[in-house]
Amino acid sequence: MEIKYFDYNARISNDHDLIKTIIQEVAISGDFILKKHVEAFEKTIAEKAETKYAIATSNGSTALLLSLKALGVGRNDEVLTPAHSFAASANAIAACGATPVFVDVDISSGTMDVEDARKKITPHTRAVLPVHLHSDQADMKNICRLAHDNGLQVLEDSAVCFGARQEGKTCGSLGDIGVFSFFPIKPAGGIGEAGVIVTDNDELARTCRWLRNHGQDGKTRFLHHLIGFNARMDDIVASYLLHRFERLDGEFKRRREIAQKYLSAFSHLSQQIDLPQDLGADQLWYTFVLRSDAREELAQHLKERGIGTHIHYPNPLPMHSAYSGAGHVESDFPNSDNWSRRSLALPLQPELADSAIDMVINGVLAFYK
Amino acid sequence: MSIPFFSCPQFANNQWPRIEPRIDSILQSGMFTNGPLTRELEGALCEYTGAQHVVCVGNGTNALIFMLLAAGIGPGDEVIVPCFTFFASASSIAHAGAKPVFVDIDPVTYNIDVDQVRQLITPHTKAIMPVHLFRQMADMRALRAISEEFGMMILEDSAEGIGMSLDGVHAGRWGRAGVLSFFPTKTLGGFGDGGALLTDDSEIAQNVRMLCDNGRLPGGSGETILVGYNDKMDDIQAAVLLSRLEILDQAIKNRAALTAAYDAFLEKLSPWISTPKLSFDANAAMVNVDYVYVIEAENRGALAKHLADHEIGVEVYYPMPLHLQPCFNHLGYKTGDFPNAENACQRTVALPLYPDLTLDQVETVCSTISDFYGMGG
Repeated sequence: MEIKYFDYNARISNDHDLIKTIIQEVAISGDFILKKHVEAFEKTIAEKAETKYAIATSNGSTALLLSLKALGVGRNDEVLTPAHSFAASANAIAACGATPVFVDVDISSGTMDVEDARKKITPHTRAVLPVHLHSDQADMKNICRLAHDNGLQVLEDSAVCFGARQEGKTCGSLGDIGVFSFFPIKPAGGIGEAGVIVTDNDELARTCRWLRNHGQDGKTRFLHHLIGFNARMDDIVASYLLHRFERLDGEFKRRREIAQKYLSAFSHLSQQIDLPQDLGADQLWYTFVLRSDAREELAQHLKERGIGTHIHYPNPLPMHSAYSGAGHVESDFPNSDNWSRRSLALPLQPELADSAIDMVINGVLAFYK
Repeated sequence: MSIPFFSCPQFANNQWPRIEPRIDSILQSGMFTNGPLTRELEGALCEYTGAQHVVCVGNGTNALIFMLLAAGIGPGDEVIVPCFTFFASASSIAHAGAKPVFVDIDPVTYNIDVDQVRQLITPHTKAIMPVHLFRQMADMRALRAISEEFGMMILEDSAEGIGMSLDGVHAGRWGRAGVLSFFPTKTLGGFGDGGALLTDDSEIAQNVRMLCDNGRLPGGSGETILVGYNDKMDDIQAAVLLSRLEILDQAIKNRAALTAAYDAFLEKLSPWISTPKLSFDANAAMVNVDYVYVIEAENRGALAKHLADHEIGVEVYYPMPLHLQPCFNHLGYKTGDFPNAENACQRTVALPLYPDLTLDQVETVCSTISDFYGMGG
């Protein structure tokens, strides 16, 4: 048996007819982009995210970019963001002409370390962009307090954790503005690129809506109030997501079950493996990321047994060529460096059978015997 | 609406047998974005246009932005661009951090006024961005001469240019790079947003591949090499476009027949209506494609309303020239700066033109227009 890190095929194996029906229906209607399916999708997101507004965009990265623009971030501004993350968070800041100021992460959660963030605030700092990563969550309470105390705005990168909660509220609704991604691999992902911005702020919502469609206000065509983008969601993608949402609760439950199996199976290995934090019912299990000094060997061992793994992420962002201008070295971000050297993600998707999970567990246990 | 501005249910049904097997292949592979069908489309477009490199992205606007960034355009640079065109021609320049320098249009072709381009060149001018609007290419021979004389790039907004060529060279291939848009109403349109970059320049192609995927090289380590964006093509769109590409030449011929029918009826309504004209330079070396049928009309606003009252959809391309847009206020232009564009904005209106449109429907549109001017059916 081979177990891929992520089997895209398995994700949609029951949806073939549905997907084809959706494509035909949208094509016959001629309502291709930002039409009724996208509107219905936005309404659903706003309800589930418990926010006043949801603005559908082309993907999670454009959701970040538009949010930053709406917050007024531009040239000469700095935005604090974690060194351990997917590139989209830093890229969005740089694409605005602003400077990403990298912050180390907390060793246990792999998310933005509040104290390191505090040290890196300067007179140019405009906003904070914490990222919920793997299945861990950034400490939004303390990050928002830090931001509030320093007159900074908060863009919450909740791209991976639609459905997660923290302190009684939904992830995405904890800052001034938040984003979700529905890229196919994401827990709530679909059949193409898709993203959403959520906020309670009237002006931010309106600005994002205008920015996603060339700065037009949705009433008068070819009147451009802002230098907007083309960052629109397709109706085909929205329609499919609406159908998927019907089984999302079941999928999230199954993800938790799998994660719990892994956590109990590996609980006696605390000398050799750092396990992900268990945040309880509020947690949305996207990926199962453990950390080990023997990360490379473990990955190889599992590969030989036909088990795929993934590294989130092999290199802290400040060390990437695009960000080399700041002249950082690994020791500037010791925890991010630690995560990048030691982390390994195991397969986790609701479609995995118990036998597949057992195979992964046995593979890991055999390595540490 | 009895004759909408754009509609495609018959087309969608007719093409489904072609599209479905490609969708099946996506469902088998599970690769939904930037996948095997996107690669296949790139190859097919290289063959169709003659370009050495095609990079498919999520939409034409982003193809323009990536083209400019990949060509090294940035803060401090000026790019000359016509002020009568879709917004993205100019906004892309602003998104690249450069300054759009507007130029007027030729009142007959609606394309860039080549003579005026010369007057606008400064030491900061890095590129000229001609647009091939509605049905014919800009005067690329003259622009090439200027670009060579002044040592600047041509970066083409050939978003509407699929199928168009001059001297055997496809639109988008005269300059250092060009783009295509696959917005659903385009001659080659998808069932959602889509776009592409065309070029023979391998460095530009490589840069665009990185720019559209978070700055990463395909098949690379995942390192962010350039500050990137995220704008990949969905394979479902690639499936639709590959299917449509198979029948593109016939579709272009059908558009030409509908255009000829419009011309034949509407020429009789001169001088209230003026039908679209090809450039005086038109000859066998120029291949046009009727993407949009744009007429000029006396009393354009009232005509549009009259057509709407009779359930005929039209679009105004464009009601306001770009130099007068609120978002470009800071550039300091004013009414009177570009009289040809400003005049066109008062008079132009686009009539329905798409695969599902029939000759009977063309006749209905024309007789409704005729009625408006009191000329009878």
